[in-house]
Amino acid sequence: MALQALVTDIHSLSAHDGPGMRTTVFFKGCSLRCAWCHNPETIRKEQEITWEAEKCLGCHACEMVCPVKAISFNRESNYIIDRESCIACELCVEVCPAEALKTAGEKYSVEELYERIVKDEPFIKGAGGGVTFSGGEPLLQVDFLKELAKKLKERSFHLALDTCGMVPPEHLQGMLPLTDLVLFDLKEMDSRKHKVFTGAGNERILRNLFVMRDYIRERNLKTEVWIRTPLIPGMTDTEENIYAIGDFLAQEFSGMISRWELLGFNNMCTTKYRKLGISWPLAEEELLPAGQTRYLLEVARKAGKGLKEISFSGLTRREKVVPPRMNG
Amino acid sequence: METIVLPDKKSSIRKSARLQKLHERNLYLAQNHKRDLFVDNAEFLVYHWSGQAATFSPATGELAAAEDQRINIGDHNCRVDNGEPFPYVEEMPSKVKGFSYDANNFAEDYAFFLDKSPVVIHPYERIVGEFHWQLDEARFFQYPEENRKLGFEARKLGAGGISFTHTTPDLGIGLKLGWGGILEKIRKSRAKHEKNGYRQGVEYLNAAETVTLSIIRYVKRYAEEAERRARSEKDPELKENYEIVARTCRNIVTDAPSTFIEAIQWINFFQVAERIIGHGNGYGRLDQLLIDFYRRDVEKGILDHEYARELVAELYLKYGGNYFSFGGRDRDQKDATNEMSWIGIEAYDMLGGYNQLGVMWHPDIDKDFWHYACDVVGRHGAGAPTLVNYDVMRASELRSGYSEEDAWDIAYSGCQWYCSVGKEYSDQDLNSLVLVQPMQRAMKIAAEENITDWEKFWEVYDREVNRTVDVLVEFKNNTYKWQPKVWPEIVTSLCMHGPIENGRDVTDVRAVNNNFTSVNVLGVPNVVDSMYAMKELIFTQKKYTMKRLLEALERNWEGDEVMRHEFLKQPKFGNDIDSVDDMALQVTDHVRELLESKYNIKGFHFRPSLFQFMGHTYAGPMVGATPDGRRAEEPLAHGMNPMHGRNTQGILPTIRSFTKIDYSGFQGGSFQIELHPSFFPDDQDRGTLVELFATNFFEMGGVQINLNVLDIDTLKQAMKDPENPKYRNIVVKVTGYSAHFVVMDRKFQEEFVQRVNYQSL
Repeated sequence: MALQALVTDIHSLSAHDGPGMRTTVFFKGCSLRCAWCHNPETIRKEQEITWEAEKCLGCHACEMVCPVKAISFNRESNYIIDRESCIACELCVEVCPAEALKTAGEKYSVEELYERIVKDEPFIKGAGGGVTFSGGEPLLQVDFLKELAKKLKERSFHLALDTCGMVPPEHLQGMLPLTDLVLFDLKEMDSRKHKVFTGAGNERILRNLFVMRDYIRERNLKTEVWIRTPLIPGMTDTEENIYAIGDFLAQEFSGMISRWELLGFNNMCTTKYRKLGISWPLAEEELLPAGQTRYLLEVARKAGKGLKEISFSGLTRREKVVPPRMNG
Repeated sequence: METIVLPDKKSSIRKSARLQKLHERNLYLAQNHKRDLFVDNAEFLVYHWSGQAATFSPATGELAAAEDQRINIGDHNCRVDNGEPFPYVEEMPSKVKGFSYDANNFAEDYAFFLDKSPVVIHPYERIVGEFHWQLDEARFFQYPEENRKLGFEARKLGAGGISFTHTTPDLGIGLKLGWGGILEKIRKSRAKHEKNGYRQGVEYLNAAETVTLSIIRYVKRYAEEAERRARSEKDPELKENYEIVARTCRNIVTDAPSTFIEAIQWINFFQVAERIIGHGNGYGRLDQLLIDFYRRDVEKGILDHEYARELVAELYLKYGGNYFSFGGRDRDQKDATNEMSWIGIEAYDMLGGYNQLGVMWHPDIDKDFWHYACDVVGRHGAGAPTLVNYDVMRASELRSGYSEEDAWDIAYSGCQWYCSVGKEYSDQDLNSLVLVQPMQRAMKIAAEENITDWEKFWEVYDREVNRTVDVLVEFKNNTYKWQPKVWPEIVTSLCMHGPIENGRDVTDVRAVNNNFTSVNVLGVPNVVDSMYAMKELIFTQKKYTMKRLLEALERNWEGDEVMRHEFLKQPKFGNDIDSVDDMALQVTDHVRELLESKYNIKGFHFRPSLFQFMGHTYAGPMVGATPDGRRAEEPLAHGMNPMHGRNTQGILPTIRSFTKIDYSGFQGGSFQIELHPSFFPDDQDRGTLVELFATNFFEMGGVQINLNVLDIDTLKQAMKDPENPKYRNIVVKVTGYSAHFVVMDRKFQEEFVQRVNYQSL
């Protein structure tokens, strides 16, 4: 059978997933369960039905058409889906007049996804732009990814791989020769905390960083590496963590890493959680105060001495100078 | 309370202290409602004809609309309001000696009006000339009843227009001749027509002479006033300024300008003398007009790049929104970019904010200049300069039938329109065809006659669009018959190729080479989406009857929410879906062919423009709910841009849909895009991203981009708190023109915040 991948979204002209303007493909399925995940629809590796309360007309057409009786409505007219029994047949999506129901995850063959990306070619080829594979964890669909990357490389696209690092090392190695830029997430240095925040310790992730470094060196690859650290209020946004990451990177990887980005938290993905019927503890969480991000950036620069470029991006909250959070 | 809020600094080009003072005054005027432009009513915006005034709404005088009725379309007036009406209304010659519809009666009013318009010189100015009243506040400006009757008939069927044509005079004529030279040209031509016994021409040229003499007096008064002030002023800096003004004005009372500053001053006087009749135009390719003056002065050592830039910036500040363009190609189709192109855009860069300048891209344009222009758009984020595609504009002129010689010298001139400089009076920008209306009539007929076949329904639609176009043609032709008598554009005529030679006003037949009629077609994407949904659900699947649909629409879909969503769920234009995009081609080709088959009394055909500047905001309730699933209270689509919120696949699919249309077949069709500031990462050069985007868009055949960089949430805050200083300087590109956001009518603001704000595209 031809290779297929599940893709939740394709973003054209993103200016935030690597250099230039890029087409970013979001693959479905992830190996971590980060508490702050921004793309919750990409976490599970199966197709899922999403429901938008604002659009729902309450016509119950979905309930009637469902062959496995997975859909019901509670007294407040809220749609309830039993995801265990749902077989993602999409009959409800088809019948929904208001497009309140949608399927997260669309199947693509390599050829189809390639054709789709190539449509954006003129816009993303100039100014250092290209294609970014994101997710979810794209390396979970590595066979597909390699096929696609090979075809895109033949057409000289700049390719970026956005990975959480929680993958079998050979998956990562297999993609490196096809990748111009790796956006590697390093979220938390304390493995116990890492497990609390993301569902897994960070040992494999750190090991993969070394694997990647050695592989790039041995094969003399031109692959560039950016490290990305999300600043999550009350979790990863501690001085201790940022210092530890910076120190670790400076010790082991200076020279290989061309950029370390601190990414500010925002809760703009709250509606995505709502559509999946998941209550998200961070829904009400505010942006980080500008003072704190400035301070953390200073910490990062101090610890990460020798790293080429350290920056912060994202929205912040304006507030009088706030002492940095010193928990942990 | 009157205030000035200074904008955030967005440019590295430094302003002189003198220019800073002038800039502050300009901001003061804009922010304190001294430059507002009004229209009588919402019908004006939808049909481009209010049924009341024959123009935009006169600010004061007997034809002014009530203050609580008129609509403020933003601070893009040249007129500087001083809170008073024109004091000599009762002494106007047409009031004293009697009014008649003819050029000389008009010219006498004009001369009196200009003579009574005070000389206004502000300290620190080196470029002078501004006005407080327009002629339509003092002279009766209304067409005869027969014309108004036709106007109302056209409106019933979905069309209208004031024919206050925007054109682009060739200021090169005036810069070469000066007012004295123009006068001589008029007199020579008059002698020739006298000899030939062409009385009508002689009379017209008498009027032109009256007007020109009054302009000469006007310029002379400026020179005298500046001389008087220079004599009495003690402050050395001010004294020097007055001396400069005096010398400049004195030198160009009758003579042609010979230096750069004189050329700039001449242009400003022309703009004032022309715009004072109540009608603005485009003023052409500033880089071509000024380059020789610039080079000569630099060679003489009396001018440098910086001072030239300062003077151009001053010209911008004097007029308000300036309709100049830059770049493009020359006669041999080579890149026309020169040093003045840079100076012109740098002058804007230095000021930022509101302006209407255009940069004309083509594949051979100077790469650095193009990058700079894109950088300015991205950095200031106020939609200026407008980026347009020279080659598509020229191709559309050639396609219409302009000669090669007329088509090369094209200038982007404002909103979506562009002109062959000095060689056309192609009635454009202010005619409207509300395409939804004939479609609605066709639907009623289909229900009554029980038409169930798509082809038959299309025939009825074709017939109904034809009916609307026919009544518009009749209305326009009647207007053209009267226009040179009702409101001749004599000042404009002075700088056109033809009117003075032919002894005919520019508004008259056979005055200039090109006289097409362009019509802004409103609601095209709504018609496309509606026709597609009806074709599917009524004619193919036969899920609903037309009668049933009409009932649902009549009730504004009330009680038919499921049905509305079925119509809404049909594929929509703007998502790169061929089936519905093909419908877009069918609908646009159809209206184009239909318009092109109709001729005006000047012998030129009609042309569609896929643009309408603001009608979409107000037309919703007027036309009611539509089969694309739109409720009555929602606006229509903006120009050819997909209906709000229906392009769900991101910007590139939208562009692909948008550019399936061949814009050389139309008189403009701007692409509107609102970027959230966070679209641009701090570490990426905005100019590079804008350039990449714009260049590709043009290579795909797009003709115009209006690009805003703004946060729609901020605009929502600004609506709640319009007095807050932090919102006072937000400038948005509304459609083809820019304006300060908080100054605009609330309806405009509401429409604006409904737009899709792209954080990533």
